[in-house]
Amino acid sequence: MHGPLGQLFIDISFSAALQIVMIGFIGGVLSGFIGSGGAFFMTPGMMNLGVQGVVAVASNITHKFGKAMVGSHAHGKMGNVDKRLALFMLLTAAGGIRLAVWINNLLFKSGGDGHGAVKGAGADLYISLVFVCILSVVALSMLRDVLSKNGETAGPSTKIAQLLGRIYLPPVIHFKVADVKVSLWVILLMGLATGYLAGTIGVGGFIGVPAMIYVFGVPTAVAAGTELYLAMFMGAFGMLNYAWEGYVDLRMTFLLYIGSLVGIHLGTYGVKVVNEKMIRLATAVIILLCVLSRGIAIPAYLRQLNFLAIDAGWDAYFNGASKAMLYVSGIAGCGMILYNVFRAYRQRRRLQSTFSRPGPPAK
Amino acid sequence: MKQQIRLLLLDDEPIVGKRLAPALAKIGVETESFTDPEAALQQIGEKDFDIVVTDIRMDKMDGLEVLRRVLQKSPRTKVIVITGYATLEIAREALAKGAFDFIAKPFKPNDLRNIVARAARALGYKVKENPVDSSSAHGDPET
Amino acid sequence: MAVVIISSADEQTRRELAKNLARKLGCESMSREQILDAATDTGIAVGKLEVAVLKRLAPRERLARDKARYLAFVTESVCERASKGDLVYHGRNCHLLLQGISHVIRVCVVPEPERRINNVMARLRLDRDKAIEYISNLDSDLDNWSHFIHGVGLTDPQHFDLVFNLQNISIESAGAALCSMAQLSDFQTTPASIRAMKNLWLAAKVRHKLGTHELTAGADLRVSAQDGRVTISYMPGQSKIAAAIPDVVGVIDGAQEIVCTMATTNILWIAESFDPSSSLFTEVADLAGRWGAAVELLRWFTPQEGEIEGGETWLAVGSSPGISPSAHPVPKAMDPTGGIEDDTEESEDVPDNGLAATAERLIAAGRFGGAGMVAGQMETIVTALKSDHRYSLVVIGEMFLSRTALLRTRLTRDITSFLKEKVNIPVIIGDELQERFLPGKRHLLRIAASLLGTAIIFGLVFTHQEQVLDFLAGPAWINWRILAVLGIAIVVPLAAYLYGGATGLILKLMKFE
Repeated sequence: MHGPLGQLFIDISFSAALQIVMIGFIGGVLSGFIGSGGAFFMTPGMMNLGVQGVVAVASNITHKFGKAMVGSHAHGKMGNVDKRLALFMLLTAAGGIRLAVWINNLLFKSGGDGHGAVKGAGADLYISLVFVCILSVVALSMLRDVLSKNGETAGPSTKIAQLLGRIYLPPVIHFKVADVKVSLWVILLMGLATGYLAGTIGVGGFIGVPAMIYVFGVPTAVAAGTELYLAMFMGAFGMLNYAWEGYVDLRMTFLLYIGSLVGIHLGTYGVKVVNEKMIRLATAVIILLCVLSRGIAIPAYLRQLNFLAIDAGWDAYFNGASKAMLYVSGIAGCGMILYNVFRAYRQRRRLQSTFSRPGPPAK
Repeated sequence: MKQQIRLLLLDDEPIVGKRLAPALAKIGVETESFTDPEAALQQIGEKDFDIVVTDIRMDKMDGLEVLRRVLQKSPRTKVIVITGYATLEIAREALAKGAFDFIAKPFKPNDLRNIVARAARALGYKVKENPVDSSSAHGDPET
Repeated sequence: MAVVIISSADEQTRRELAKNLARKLGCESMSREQILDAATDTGIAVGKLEVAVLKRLAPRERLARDKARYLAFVTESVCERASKGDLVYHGRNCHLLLQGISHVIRVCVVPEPERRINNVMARLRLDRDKAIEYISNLDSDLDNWSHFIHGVGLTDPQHFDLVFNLQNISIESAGAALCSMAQLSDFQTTPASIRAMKNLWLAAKVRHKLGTHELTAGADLRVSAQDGRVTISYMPGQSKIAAAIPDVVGVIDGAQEIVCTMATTNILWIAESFDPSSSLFTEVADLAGRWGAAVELLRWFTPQEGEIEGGETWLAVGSSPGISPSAHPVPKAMDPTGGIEDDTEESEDVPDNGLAATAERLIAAGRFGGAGMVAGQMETIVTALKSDHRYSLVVIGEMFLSRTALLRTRLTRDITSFLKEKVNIPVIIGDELQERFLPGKRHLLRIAASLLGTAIIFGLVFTHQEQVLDFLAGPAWINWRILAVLGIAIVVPLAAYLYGGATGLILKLMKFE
């Protein structure tokens, strides 16, 4: 690759292609398993390969859009969509995405102005920072949730929802499927946040779903269903925006598909065979490790922006460590899921575990 | 207001008072526990309470009768009704008769604490932030 | 033997009518309140459920389990008493408890409004306005309760055999009418109705035991019973719990055999007639095996024209599907005052169109998820489906058998699209099952075509990388970037569709779904 395009897109060697396919596969397994997301693994994975952050996010959103269009895995959950809620969130989510694209574009264009700063490092740093901040909060609260409950399966806390329920900031809208009443302003705000994050790091579901559950008090199943519905439109809108700015690397998207569309089936299967607490624990740990991995990469971007005076030769170490960490967490998480999937698959082959026990004769 | 919130707790099982009084003390509520409705009503006659928490099913007297007498004596008092045998009929009756809120056993001390805090705020007290929850002041008990 | 179930929003009204009728029949009356106390004493948090409805709490997993426990307990208690002899039972919406038992008379009593207000004023010592407010609040609570517990409205008429409006009839006369109605042959016990009750009772007993034992209380288990054989299905994630099930259930009166089946999901098979030797049965069973699903059978048929209006659910799939191996003749006409069925010949050998035989085969295969029957218009199916079961597929089998072949096809299509619209679950006609879900030769062709398409698209992109990227982001095309956006919007879903379809099918062939 040469010319202006060379700054934007990387050359894809055979080994890089293989790695992207693998990243796609792991991301697919995780996203099938968790229900949404997967970008939290794929975006940093691509950035570690030297892909510009903006391009990684753009290709990822495009990938997400296509996946949602196929959407076979989402079929069963579609019954639980509150379309009205989705519509209202979408109103501002679009704005949020637009904002995210605008910021990313600005940072990318302003970088690399000849002061020794590397082109795109500003955007990379920004994406990494948002990624680390948001996902560490998500992962830690998830972890706290799982660990504090000691086996007791109380439903999600509705405290925030109850608190907000008392804020009668008209107009308050009643959502019939979810059966909640929420102030329009709260929804619009959450939509904006969801859209912004979806646009910035390609991970909207992690914010959208908890927001709906904890802030609006929507039942979990409806939240997940609505999010899937929402993701389709947000993915489309994000894709259009990034494509317009010329950041989508079609090759990346395609390579991701090779792995992810296989992985997603296995991940979805995994949900059926791994128990719920384990799912949440594994998710939290995997996300946390991804966050850590991204955190390790940050000094390199700081150096590239001349904020940090360290030897440029260290970049490789930071990146290498970050990459290793990411792969270890992804492969370990994926391995755990696949181990369970194949075990259950083998078990099922031995017919159903049906057993019967004669009782006393009926009177 | 820096005043103590005075609460009377009436339940014919002594364990209830023993467990709830310390929990309520955490948000600055001074609790007097009774197991005998008559004795409780006598105390209510002598002293002003901000909040009364009463069980419904007691051997000697119906909690709804306690509710009636408390409100007769002091309409500003917030009465919170607890019961292990909650039904919609009884709950609606208690609310129609002026109870502040209704809570079903088994509950966690924190559940009661939240309602007590809400009742105290409705009376104009500033309540210490509950360590677990922070609900806002207004909002009716039924939603 | 007569079992009369009286539902009313007003406790006093139903209590009076129940007492009156019980005296006339010379039997006992039992109230929901009595059972409730017993339930609370055994540790079922009924009060929590009631308050959750009052405060309109969002449904939670825990409430759902409390609800299941409550339902099991109440069903068990009522069945137990009803099996001993005549019984008058009254509650809010208890008519929904014992569905599908032909000797149960389900009665709705609408209280006389003015009298109700006066009663409330007197009993609760409230002034008139407060009493009216109390009643209207309570009624809306009760409706919510009904939706929460049974998934239908409080006064949904199709679940009643008879409605009394006390504006026009006294309690005394209503009691007399019910007393003579209980003598009608329609409401006498039949071997089938006794069996249906036993099934319901047995399932409730098992569910109660499972729901209150610490090992299994947190698991989502589905229980169905048929003639002493209990099928308990569990999710694969709970296979550890499953091992404990037989011990938890222990020895239960009437249970001859307990089968535990792993099921990840449920398939609902709706048809007018079932045939365990048909190819559709093989396909459904095959699909259930692939999906790890339990199959629930619902026999549905429409009464002939002019016979019935609105539909009459007399045996519905509920949380404890009981199976009645012999079909009840379709009610012939409706009494103008309510839903009293005319006398009909009750014969024991009416064919059930293969329902029992099919259930038998499914039990043997460890794939049985319950069975039920329902008659009426299309809407009755939707009502029957509105319980909290999750189905991942609805299969429409043989229907409208009395119509001509052409009409049958059209009506079957009608009902498919009707259900698709109403229930948000994939609905499929039996003939298409093979093609859609079971891989065959046609699928191999599709896989090949999809893979070829994928290879072409991928090949083109990767052999023309520079051109592609230049087109997407290069300066030469900057003024034509709308084309780039369009290109991506078309090519990406296409590639995803082709490749995703191929991988999905391949995994399906490997029985990975």
